[in-house]
Amino acid sequence: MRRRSTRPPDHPRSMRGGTRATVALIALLSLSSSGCWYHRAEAPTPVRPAGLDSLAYTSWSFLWRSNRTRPSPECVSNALKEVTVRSNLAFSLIRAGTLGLIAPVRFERQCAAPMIDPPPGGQTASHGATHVSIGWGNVMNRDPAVDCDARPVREVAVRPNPLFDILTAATIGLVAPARIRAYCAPAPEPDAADLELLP
Amino acid sequence: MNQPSELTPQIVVAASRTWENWHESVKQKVVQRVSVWNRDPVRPSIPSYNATTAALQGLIRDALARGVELRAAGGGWSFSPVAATDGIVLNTLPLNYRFWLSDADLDPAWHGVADRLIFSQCGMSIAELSTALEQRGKSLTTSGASNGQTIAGAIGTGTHGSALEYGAIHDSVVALHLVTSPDRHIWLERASRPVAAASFVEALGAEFVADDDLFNAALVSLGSFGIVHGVMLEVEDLFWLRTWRRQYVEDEHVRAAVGRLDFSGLPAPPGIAPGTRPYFFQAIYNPYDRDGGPYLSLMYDHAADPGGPRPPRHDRWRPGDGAAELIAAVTDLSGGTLPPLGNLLVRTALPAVNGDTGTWGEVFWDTATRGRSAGLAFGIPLSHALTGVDLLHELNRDFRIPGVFALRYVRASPATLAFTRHADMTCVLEIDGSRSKRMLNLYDAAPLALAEAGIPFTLHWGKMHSPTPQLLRDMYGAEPITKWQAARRSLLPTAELRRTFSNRFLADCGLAG
Repeated sequence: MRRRSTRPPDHPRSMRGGTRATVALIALLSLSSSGCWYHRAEAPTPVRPAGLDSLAYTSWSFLWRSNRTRPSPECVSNALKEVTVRSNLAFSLIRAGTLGLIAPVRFERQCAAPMIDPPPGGQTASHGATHVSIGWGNVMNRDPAVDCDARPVREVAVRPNPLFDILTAATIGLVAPARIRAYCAPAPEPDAADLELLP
Repeated sequence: MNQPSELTPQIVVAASRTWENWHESVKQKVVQRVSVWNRDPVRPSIPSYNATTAALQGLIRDALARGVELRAAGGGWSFSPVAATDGIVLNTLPLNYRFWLSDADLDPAWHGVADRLIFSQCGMSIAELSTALEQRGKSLTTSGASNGQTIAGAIGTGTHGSALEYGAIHDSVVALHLVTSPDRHIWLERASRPVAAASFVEALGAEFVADDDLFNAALVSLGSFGIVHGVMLEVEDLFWLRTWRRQYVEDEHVRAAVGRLDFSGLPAPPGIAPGTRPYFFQAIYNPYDRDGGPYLSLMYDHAADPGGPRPPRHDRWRPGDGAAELIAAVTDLSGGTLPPLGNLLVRTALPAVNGDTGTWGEVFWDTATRGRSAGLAFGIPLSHALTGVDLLHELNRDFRIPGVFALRYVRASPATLAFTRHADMTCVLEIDGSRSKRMLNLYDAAPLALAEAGIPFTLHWGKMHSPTPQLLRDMYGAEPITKWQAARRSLLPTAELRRTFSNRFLADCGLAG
């Protein structure tokens, strides 16, 4: 066991209710002060990460084009387990202030492990769901990549939406909707099945 | 030295020299992070597998030459630093070949049939394994509830489930392919339970070793017996589980079920005969609602799909990465978890389930647990289950953790350092939740309290665990430790090899030498 004091913390009744609420509020505010919130498109189980670094970069799009990302070259499987789309107050102000003319986001890509004989199912692309991040990413709704079912993601696109950007900037990320589409990896080739050891 | 060939795996060296585990409880600088990819990642073949064996031997040679540790990190799923190293971290996640066997691959003395065996490369995850097996009409017998571990990592740390007639995952393993040095790799199985034909082992180019003591020691190896490159597992025909979960008032019948696995008085779900022993059983206590009683999960197995709603796979809403950290911060700052918050969290996480039906992989599909969560798990004799959980409730009056107490049940394992070693049934008493200061303080206090109460315990290797040689001796006794060390010295005969496959955690255990 970790060798630290096993003395119980301060007794809870030593703090009054109002103090507790204040402290909790401070905690919430301090978390929001990081100025960062995110959305995530994650291919569901059994797709899993390949354990490479999450390669992050800032993507700028112009003239209301979507921000798009694909696997990096060192991702041998050429498939993604997930893409996290991060934003912050500065990015949101740029997006909202230019009404989507200039649209920066930060992408973090997780390479997917090879998929041997992935089960059937999954669509070619998601429906381009509206993804809502509430409380600076502490609660999120249905995953945009869920329609990929058991297949990894090949590409993720974030479509500019000035109304969403204004709402996000106005609430400093407390409520952050985004229009995200995940393009799923193609179905396996017919011969890509696992082999018997001996015929 | 092997020459590069068209099958030579791709080695990817990460730019970053920082390694962090999945649950963000261990983070450290390392010499190098290396990923190995089979040359043709999606078309398994024995020649390609063998080329990867050679590449792993090359990595061991490199680590020896540089005088640094080499550690396969698996899924990084352990809360403890069991997989950590300041040397070379080997990322095995891309290594997920699997092979189905024929009867010709088996020793004639093997009691079973080939289609109940799978030979899996080390990096395959438990969730992925479940999916692969299901496609062949097969199933794992057990697994954890959260399944991002690799198969090698899961067995090396003693990952378990709560299937009442089975042991932990490693108890399904019948053979291991271990890469132990630059010029040696072995096929290890029990002499008392031979499984592989000589031709199979020759196809891998491995040295055949059949030895019960070596095998039992190498099962829960803590990643310290070389690199586990392949695992042969015994599996079952596909089956379906019907699940019921709700909160039960803690009367004598519920305590009999939780404390003795006596289901004779427990109200049976619809269509289940009273007193039927479930395939899977677990109890989760909300420490802020003791009067409401535990949440019991009962799962009954069926050889054919009995119908019923499928387990939900996708939540409409889910917590984000920072949710556990937020809960930890708020509860630390506000003097402990307030009962309304604790109740809200538990009710949200444990909704009632009424007859949902799914295969093992469909029921235990989650691999997405994120953030600063925490887990501590004691293995205790079943006879102490109720005393143990009562004691935790008592302790929590002072600590008021943001978490729950869970009881799971595992058949005793023959593995030398399995923490599920308490015969004939080990109760795994867990404290799970957000990683707050209060939680960590309870983790310090709980083992002392158990020891004071005279409850013998072991600690899950993959959960929060800060060992000392004395603690290890108290938990296992001297003999298993001596046997485990002797087995390790037998497979890693030089001090340099043992240093290469050691780490700080192993040294803290007193097992590194």
